[in-house]
Amino acid sequence: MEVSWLYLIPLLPLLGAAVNGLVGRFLPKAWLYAVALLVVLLSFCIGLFAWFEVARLPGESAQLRQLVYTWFSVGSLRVDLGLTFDRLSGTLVLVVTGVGFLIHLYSVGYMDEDPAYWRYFAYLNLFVSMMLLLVLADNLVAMFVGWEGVGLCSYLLVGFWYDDETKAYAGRKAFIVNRIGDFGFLIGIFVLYFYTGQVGFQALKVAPLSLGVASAAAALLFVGATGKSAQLPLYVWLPDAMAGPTPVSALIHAATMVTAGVYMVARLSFLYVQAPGVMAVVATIGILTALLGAVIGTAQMDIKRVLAYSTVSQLGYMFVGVGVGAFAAGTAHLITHSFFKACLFLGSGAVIHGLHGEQDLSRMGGLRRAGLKHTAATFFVATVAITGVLPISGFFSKDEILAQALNTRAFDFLTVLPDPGSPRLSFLGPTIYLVGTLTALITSFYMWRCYLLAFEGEYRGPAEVHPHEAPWVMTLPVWILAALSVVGALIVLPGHDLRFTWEHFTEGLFARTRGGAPAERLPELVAFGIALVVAWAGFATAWSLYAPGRALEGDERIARVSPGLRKALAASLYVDALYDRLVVKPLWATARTLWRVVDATLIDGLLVNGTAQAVASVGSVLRRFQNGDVQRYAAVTAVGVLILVYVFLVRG
Amino acid sequence: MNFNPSDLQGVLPALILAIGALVLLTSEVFLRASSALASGSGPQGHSERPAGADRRYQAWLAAVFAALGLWAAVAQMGDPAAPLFSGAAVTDGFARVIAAVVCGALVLSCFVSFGYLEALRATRGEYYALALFSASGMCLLGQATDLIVIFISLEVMSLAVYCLSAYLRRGQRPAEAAFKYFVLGSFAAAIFLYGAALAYGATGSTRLADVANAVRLAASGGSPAGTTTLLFAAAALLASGFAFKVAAVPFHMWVPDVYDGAPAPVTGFMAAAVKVAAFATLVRILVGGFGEPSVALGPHGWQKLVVWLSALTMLLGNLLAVPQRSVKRMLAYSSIAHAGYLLVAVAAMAGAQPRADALEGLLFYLAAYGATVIGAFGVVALIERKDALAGAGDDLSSWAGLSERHPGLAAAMTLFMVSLAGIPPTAGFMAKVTVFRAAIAADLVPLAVLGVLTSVAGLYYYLRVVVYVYMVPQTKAEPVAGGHLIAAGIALAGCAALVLWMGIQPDTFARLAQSATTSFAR
Repeated sequence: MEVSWLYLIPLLPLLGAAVNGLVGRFLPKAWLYAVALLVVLLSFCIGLFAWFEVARLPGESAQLRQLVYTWFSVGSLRVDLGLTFDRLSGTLVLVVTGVGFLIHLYSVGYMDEDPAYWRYFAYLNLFVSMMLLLVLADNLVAMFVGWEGVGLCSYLLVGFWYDDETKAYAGRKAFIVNRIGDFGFLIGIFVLYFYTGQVGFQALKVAPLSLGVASAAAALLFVGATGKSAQLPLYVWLPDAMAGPTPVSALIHAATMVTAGVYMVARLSFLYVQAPGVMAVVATIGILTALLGAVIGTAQMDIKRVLAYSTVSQLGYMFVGVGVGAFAAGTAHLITHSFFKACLFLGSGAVIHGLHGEQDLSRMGGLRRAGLKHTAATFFVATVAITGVLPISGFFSKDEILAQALNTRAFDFLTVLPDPGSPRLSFLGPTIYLVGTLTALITSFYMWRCYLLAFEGEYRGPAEVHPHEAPWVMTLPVWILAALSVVGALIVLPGHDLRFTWEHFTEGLFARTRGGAPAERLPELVAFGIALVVAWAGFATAWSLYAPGRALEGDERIARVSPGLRKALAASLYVDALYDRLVVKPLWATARTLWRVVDATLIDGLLVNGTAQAVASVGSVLRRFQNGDVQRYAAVTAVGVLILVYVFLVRG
Repeated sequence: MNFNPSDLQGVLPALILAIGALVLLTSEVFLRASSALASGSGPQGHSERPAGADRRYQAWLAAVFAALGLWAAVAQMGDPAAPLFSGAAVTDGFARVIAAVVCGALVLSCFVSFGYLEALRATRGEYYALALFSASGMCLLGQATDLIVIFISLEVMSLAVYCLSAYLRRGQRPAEAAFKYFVLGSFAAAIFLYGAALAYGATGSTRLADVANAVRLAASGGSPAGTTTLLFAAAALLASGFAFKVAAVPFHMWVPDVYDGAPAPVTGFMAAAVKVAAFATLVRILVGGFGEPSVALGPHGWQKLVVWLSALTMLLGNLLAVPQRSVKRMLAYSSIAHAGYLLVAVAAMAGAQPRADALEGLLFYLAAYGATVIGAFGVVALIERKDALAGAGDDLSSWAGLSERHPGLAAAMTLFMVSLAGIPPTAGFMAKVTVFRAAIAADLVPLAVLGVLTSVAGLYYYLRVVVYVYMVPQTKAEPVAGGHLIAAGIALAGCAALVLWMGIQPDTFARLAQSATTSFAR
């Protein structure tokens, strides 16, 4: 259905960003808050209205479209700024604006004392606008604009306190690592355009693609996703991105932007199912990232870094979901994760706020009884959700992904080597299930460790810091998110006859994998039982090491048993050092050599100065003519005419 | 020749501009003389009122008339093409776009000139009247399809511009520049006339339509060899005459001296509008008169000629701009270089197939260059005020640290430089894309490659201005000469908006240019 008001959804936050960015400095604080919050709220309301429209429409036709305008048309390439609001993008619009609004509200409390609050809200509005464009775009080019736009906002907000050198550095790191991925994304777009002449999702859906083209495009686009969604090997920027204000970590680096890669794969499900090999890669990268993030998360002392590695790990789960062809399961986890992870991050923000900037778990403890009652309760709920010790949202969405990985037949017809006689890849799904279950155990362990260290036991911080609860503008959004983390379970409840589940709601939106319907390799109830046991095992391990009253004994015990491992984990497995050694340093060295040898000597010396000298000598010859003497000018003109006539008539 | 009064409607933009000029000249009669202020003896404010305050209305009036002309041109945009004055002129989409660009350039120039003239205490009535007269000649040039009419319109335009470039009668440089321009311009006009005479000799008519018929006849081998030779010689001479006006190498010698000597607002107007009119006529003559593809592409065809002119112009224009220290002189050489890019589009028009695309590209490029260069010279005018009062030429050092004194001005200049260099998302980029695309469609790939390579060289001297504006610390902490920055601000904002608009949303303008190509009367 064509509608004419869809553009308002991304436009309103953009206007808010313009107002706040241009005149925000001169507005009274209350006005600025009103503008920043209202535009997002209005977008949410419009989105809600549209969402009900879409939910009412039957299956395939359930989408609203608007061709805002033809952005440019060059030759055969026509790029429209077109928006599509279907059940997938529409629900994400609600998540982005809904969670976004809550985080805006929270920021009113969190950023109140920052002198650059106007800049902050302008960036935040701009981010929401760009994210909405990314989600609503109906073609790859418009999506790329949103993709780059959110990257820009992420850079601006990570380096928000740019006068701190390390924070500015973190911003740069995020930007550069993302650029590497974006390069792949861009080439992916070029590949698709080169072979099909199309960039629109609708047109690409029906365009015939050979296996090679589909695989190349899918793989290149996935490179972009590894950058934006912090997957191996490009995940390294996300932990450092925690240098930004905590609400930003919640909104951009947990709930919305980092899920863009998952969304992109789901949006292009029709492309990915044509490239089953790439899907295997996606799932493998996903599960490896999930495991790695969880393992590193066990030894982090900074509360935000624990959550950052947890995000990396959970994004890995989502990629497992879309990688094994369970697009609905992957995107469902995206939605539930955005609730509980935003809740966790905002909780950590309240802790940091209450402790005047303290982020180290070793100087926390006992915060539940020290006054942060609401924060502790909400953090507890969200931890339950993410670890899955009780069957609420995270339990079901994660378990669905693992069950689908176990049962998938998407890889059954693939062989390990091109040789048709080599073994089949059908072992991949069960392997992923096993690793994923192990990861779930570790997840439960590190999240409970984090909760126990922060909120239980005795307060370990300096005596002059008195922990205090955050104001209501900060606790209210956190409570709402905690409630959503519980209620979110509704959309991911198992059972195929429930009409309100996400799987049912998105039926027909995603392409089906070529392997056929999933096999049932494990009864559902058994899988749930295993998941529960694993989650409780993680909790039990955490409790045995970090039970209230033991303070940091747990960490010390681990360090005693295996000092090398503990050190390596705390240092994030030296991946940053490795990248530094393997990529950054060689690049610097190469750059310096190039600068000294090629640029300074060859280019500057020989080419530039040489050219300049050549030009200068040509110039000095020409300048003889350009001496201001009119007669000479006329003579040159006359000679010019003579040559012209000669060439014209005689030479031919 | 029968005179049909309704034909006047076809030349409405030119008519409006001429009437405006006459109104301004007449009104001058009723004002107190201001000769003491305008004489060469330098600035001296001995009257209590600011100099030229009673002449302020003239700028606004001129702008209004120019805007009326713009409106008239745009309002006629959809009308069908029709011959006027029994074939001496024509009204078609092409002419209307040309008139619209000229009038638009004039509106912007009026705003740029206003504060400049007041700051230099040189507000006199003839300035705007001359500008209107020249614009009127330019509009007619876009419409003329008879060699005699072309010549008359050319002189109407040129004489007014000669006077304008000598307008600031301070020091030697303006007079010298105008004199050179006049002498060399007359020389070029004589060459043009010679070509017209040859064409008349070969065809017995000065109408381009008759010339086109004769060319077609010659192409099919139905005319004596002498006639064919005469026609080719005529084409060479006519093209040379306008190669001078568009400042193609080797007819470019006057450009640096004249651009440097003339007041900056005039230079901007010259670079934008004179170029538009000259290219319009060049297209009328080459495509309308000698456009038969088999001739144009043939061994004696003009495509090869234009290709060489264009290659030389791009190369030398860019190379010579590199060592310039004066921004005005740099922009003069840049204007030569841009003439080279425009000639690429003209060369692409020789074949029948890519002709429409090339014409569209040419018009888009002219409009884009016009908006950019008026803006650039508008900023130069603001910087120059102080230096011109002191009688010195401008130098890059007077741009150092501009971003600290005037961040808005610095941003605008950066935008214009970026557009001239052809970097997205500006008008200059889209213009280059359309022109080079047409060249590739016309199988002129080497020319397009040369165009891209020389544009890269252009980055050096355009971005050097940006470097000075933002990165070189200022040496003298003086703001630009005060007073009436608002009008200039409006003009610069308008130019900047156009530059961005044409760069981001080129379709609006491309459609306009398309309408010109679909109703290009031959």
